[in-house]
Amino acid sequence: MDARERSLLAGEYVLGTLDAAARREVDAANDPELRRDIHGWERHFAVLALKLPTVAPRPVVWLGVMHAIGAGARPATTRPPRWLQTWAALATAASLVLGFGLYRELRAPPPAPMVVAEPVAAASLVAAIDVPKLGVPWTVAIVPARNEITLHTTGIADPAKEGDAELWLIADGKPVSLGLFPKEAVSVRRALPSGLTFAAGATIAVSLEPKGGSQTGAPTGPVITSATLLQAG
Amino acid sequence: MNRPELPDQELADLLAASARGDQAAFARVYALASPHLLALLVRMLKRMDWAEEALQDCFMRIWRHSDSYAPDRGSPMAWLSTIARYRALDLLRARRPEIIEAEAPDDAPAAAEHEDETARPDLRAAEHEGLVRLEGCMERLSADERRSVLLAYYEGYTHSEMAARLATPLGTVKSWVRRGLQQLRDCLGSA
Repeated sequence: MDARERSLLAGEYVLGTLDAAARREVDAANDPELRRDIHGWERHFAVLALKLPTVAPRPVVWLGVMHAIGAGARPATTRPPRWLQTWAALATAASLVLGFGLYRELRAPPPAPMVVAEPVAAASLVAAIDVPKLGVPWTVAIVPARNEITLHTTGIADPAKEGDAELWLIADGKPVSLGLFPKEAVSVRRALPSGLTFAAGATIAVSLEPKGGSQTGAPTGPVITSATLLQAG
Repeated sequence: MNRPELPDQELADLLAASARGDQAAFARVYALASPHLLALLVRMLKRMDWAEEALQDCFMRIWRHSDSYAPDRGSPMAWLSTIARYRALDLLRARRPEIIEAEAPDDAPAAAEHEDETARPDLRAAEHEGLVRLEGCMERLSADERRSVLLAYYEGYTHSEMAARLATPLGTVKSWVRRGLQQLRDCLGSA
């Protein structure tokens, strides 16, 4: 194969016009020059992808990614479960609109608690807490059987200034503290306070509190966002 | 999306950190890249539910293979978009019959050629330069050649699908694509 023919084959491969058999042949070929030509066309054509107007994914997609890669562990090589599809219907509930950038203007009362669904024999319950200013939601995963909560955060812009963000479970209309969010970008796993019942559909909320968290056992600062716990298999 | 753009080096560093298992860095990669990747996936797959599922697949792959990014693959964002595009091609191969039915009978490539103005401010300088260069070279193609290259890129058509879609003989479509690629190669130089 001469250089021209190789380059055209690489171009057709990158465009995707080859039929399945020809495509497999290219995949199987152990030809560094063909590989290099393929990378060259990939680079050239990528600008066509990047010029499209961006589309922000719903927070539930990130939640699915976080769930699939697990907390701290490298993922297994199996495909992720299909539960994301099931979630599509719940996604609106999981997507929240208020972020740290808005908290100062926000003086509305906390959102009314949702009707708590029937408790489910849960492996884990998860929620995506949207923080639009950061571009990626934080996630909360609760494993009631192990009495454990995992928080994934991406950090806040100015940790010194903002006080602490405190997470609440709204249980029977009453908030119960689930602890403070770390200010840096981390995943932390902690024990849950004892005696709580968690169920899919329950509301969790985040309030902005003085350093160290609320001293009264209830939110004292503005509720900046809330989310619904979803069953995660 | 109105988010601060990171220089390529920083995105490359984030990928390197992801490869070491740093989930916070990976979250930044997701925040920066996912709106670009989803745009391409929606464009190719036509359905938001498939596109978001594919996006999740892509980021699984990116998490596993973030150590395989190297500068010869282009900018980090170009490499990420290539992962998304191949994922979409795989899905199209598996699901094409349904998609063709779901598709509106409009002229897709015409839309592709008019989408650029709104999006351009979002591109990094290096990518903007690459786009100007590619589009400059695209200008030299005949209308048929340009259309067939763009149809292949954005719709993921194989030669035979494109022949059916354009009601044009397979041989003609193949030679449009090949002549288009040949001229791009001559114009772009290094491919």
